[in-house]
Amino acid sequence: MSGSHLISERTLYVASLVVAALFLTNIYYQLHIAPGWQWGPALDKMPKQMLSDFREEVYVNAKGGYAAGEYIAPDADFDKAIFPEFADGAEVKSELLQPLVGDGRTVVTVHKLTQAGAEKTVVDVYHIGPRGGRIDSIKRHVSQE
Amino acid sequence: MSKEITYNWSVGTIVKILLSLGRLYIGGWMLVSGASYWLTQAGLPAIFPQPVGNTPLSSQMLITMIEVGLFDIVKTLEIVCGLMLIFNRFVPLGLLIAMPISAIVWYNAIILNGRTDRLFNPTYMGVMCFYISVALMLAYLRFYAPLLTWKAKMGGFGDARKLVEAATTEA
Repeated sequence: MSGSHLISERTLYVASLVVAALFLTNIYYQLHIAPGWQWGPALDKMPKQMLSDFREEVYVNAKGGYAAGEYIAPDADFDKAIFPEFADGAEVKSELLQPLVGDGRTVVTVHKLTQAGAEKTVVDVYHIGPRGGRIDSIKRHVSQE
Repeated sequence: MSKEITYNWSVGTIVKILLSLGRLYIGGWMLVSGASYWLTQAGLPAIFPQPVGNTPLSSQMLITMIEVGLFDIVKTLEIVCGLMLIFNRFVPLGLLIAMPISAIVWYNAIILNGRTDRLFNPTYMGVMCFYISVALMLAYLRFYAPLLTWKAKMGGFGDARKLVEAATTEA
């Protein structure tokens, strides 16, 4: 190990690129595969965009069951009984009374829900979980007007 | 004909190898981070889902940066500096670009997300990218030293030539 050694600059450069390729592979593995992401339509979207897509599935496409499975975390905190629209084929229509309000990972919807001819004004507060990008809590407030 | 480099196995050589590994790793990390964002923007699957923070303040900062379009600039610069660092070209400039990005990543991880328990975790790139950037900038200090010129006089139009000279010179 002692004494002077010679190495060509080209060999050194090629070796550095090989090391870079190994690092890139490792970083890709650590970020893409190792965390075991549950890839789905909820992932890698901004909270308001995610909510917008979720609402479209529930209220426009009447695929509330599918949407709840894909966009809501299995251990999410919400009262299933007051969300009849979270079932496939549910005939519940929603009209936003103002644009979605987002603050960090919290998104608020103020909307008019129509089910079987009955209308009510509802404020839903959605919270998106820090990991996995799915809804981890929903609070529903119904107007008394 | 490739140039031959003479080296001895000394502490200096080992430090240079470690710093070069740091340069390659942070370059790879920047490249993957920037590429993942732009893959999503192009409608392709991301490498990893963009984190939007674990605390309200962190989420506000990250989501606002994305919504106002600042992330487009940040992620483009990550790719640019990542390539510079991996291919060992314009490295002082690449580090200059990486430094503010790394500093904000550190601030987000430690101050906004409160991950003080991982302040010196060698596997946590939320902090290590900043430390590696600092170490590398110190290694390339001679390129930044002129920035500390005490009384600097303005130059002329002819100074533009110096950019071309610098870009075509090994130092």
